[in-house]
Amino acid sequence: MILELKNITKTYPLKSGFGTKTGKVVRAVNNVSLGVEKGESISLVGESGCGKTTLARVIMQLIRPDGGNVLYDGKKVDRTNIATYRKDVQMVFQDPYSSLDPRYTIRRVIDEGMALDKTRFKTQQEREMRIQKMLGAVQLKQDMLGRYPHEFSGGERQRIAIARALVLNPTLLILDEAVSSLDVLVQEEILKLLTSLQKDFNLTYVFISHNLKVVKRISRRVAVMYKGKIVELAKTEDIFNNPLHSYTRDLLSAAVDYKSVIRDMEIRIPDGAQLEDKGGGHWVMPE
Amino acid sequence: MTNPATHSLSEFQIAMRTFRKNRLAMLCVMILGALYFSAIFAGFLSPYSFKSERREHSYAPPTRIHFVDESGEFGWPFVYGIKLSFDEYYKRIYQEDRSVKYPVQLFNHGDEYKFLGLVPMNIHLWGVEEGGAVYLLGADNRGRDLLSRILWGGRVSLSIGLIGVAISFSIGLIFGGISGYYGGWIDNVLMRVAEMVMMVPGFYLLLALRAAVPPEFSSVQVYIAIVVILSFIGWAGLARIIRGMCLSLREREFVLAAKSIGLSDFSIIIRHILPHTLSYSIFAVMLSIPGYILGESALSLLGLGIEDPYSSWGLLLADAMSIVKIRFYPWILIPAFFIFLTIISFNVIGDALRDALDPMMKAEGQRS
Ligand SMILES: Nc1ncnc2c1ncn2[C@@H]1O[C@H](COP(=O)(O)OP(=O)(O)O)[C@@H](O)[C@H]1O
Ligand SMILES: [Mg+2]
Repeated sequence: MILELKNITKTYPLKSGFGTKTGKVVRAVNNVSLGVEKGESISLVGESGCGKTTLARVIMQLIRPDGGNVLYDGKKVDRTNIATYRKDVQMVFQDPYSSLDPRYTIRRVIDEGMALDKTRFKTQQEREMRIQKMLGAVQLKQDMLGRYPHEFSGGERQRIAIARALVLNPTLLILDEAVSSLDVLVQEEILKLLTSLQKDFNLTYVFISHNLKVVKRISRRVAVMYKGKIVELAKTEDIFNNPLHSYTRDLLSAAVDYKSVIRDMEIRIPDGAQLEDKGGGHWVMPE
Repeated sequence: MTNPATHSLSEFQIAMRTFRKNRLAMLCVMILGALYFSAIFAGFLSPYSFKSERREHSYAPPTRIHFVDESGEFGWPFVYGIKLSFDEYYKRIYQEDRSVKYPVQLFNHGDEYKFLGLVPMNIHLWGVEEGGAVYLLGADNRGRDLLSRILWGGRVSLSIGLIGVAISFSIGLIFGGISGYYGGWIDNVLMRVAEMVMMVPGFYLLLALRAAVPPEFSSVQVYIAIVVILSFIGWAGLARIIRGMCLSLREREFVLAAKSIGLSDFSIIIRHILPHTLSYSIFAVMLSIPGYILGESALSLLGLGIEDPYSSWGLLLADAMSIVKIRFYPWILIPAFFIFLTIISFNVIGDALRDALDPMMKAEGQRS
């Protein structure tokens, strides 16, 4: 187990329409536990607002959870080992238009992380070589390096963001809706690229998407999230062929005809319910 | 790499290119450039020092510069002497004294001044030799050359805006940055203070603070006091806006990405947050400089600012508060024109910058 989440909870204060605190809270992530094997690709799926990004940011140590721990290689991630953790775990963000600093050329974007790590990337030439190599890996042209993000399409920006993450030679890559903002053809290309990168660089993926269909080809396992909780966790084929939770079934039918999830009844998760083992690595939240 | 495609323009450079296409704004840049240039080299460019006075030339009208002499020949410019007489109401009447001619001299020796405030010098770009007098824009009540006093006064009036804005902007940036970055109770306290400063009507605050300055202060100290007072009034608005921008910027994904690759908080603020507040700040600064210039003018006009014999545009205008004087000596209004020109220029440049930077700020600030 390379990454383990133990009872992660994150709440946000709920604000009224006037922006004042109401005293209530949103449980963006509610008592989530999850293990990620080294070299695997696991997907986190659920409709928007279910807490995927929040969970990703907790994993990345960008926000502090209210409860629970993140374990990496069996060790709790805290202040003492955050620097090494950051070298090993990288993230590709949701919005390619906001994830690149508009003031930075592509070269600086990719170089910035390396420039911080003088022990691994000693000389300028070494870094430049690596930038070129990464650019090749994400299939971008060399002449793009001197340009600024605003000149690139969403798909190209996402490739740049992938290069920025990969250049630090991470083990684990979190991809938060990495293809969701792109049109279908570009999605295909990026997914193909991600699949080949995983092999070439021995990566472990946590792939986040609101669309089950996208997830099908890239992941070995799928965790379905609903209102801050994981309601079903299984191998990808089990999720598609034998969905046990009613929310997973809703998601599936929505993915087929590209509709938003429609539900007649609110799905209730009993208080304090835990995932139940159905055998063969298939876990379901009781309803 | 010589391929032009490999080096492209940042959004900021594109914005600057748009700005340069705005002819009116570029004209204003040149006007301001000329004004600041003449203020910096006031000593050299003006024929007299700001305090050299000749009481017998009180309110002498603008001196005519002649190119054609009595014999009708065109030649090197010169001025005639000035003859003073009185009419039946003892009003001074100045006439040209055609019996004496003073050619305009270049690099002539005249009043002592300090070049750039450092090197003592007495060479002036132009002037006439001793005995003669040239008042291109007329003279004031004590017979001092108005042009020289305007150029010298520009030093005070033009620098006060820049220094004031530099101070208030630093305070605003620090307060706004801290407020926006840390949030919580720090944010609350700082912003309540800012609101209090903003709530008090600026002009009364100005007067109140000015009243607190000890009367025995020297002119330089008064000048510094005025700058500090003006910037104390000006920082609050900027701080609030910078704070708002920092609040939203720290949520931006490129800031999170910077954190993910291991940048420290400090580096993130310096490299990825503050640079994005600058595009706003640039035009905010341009649009707020006129406030300082007017503030100084207002104080000096009321006799609370720069004091005689030193010069500032506001102080020069104070002389023009009497309608009778304006009626008889209309040239004493000329400093108003300089104030007007400066303020209009800053406003035009500020507006043009806003227009040019707008697409960039939209791209930077409004996508979440
Ligand atoms: N910074 C925040 N402040 C307040 N509420 C937030 C914040 N971030 C997320 N939330 C809330 O937490 C919930 C989960 O959001 P998010 O993790 O972004 O969902 P997803 O990525 O699955 O769309 C949503 O209800 C959202 O409104
Ligand atoms: Mg999200």
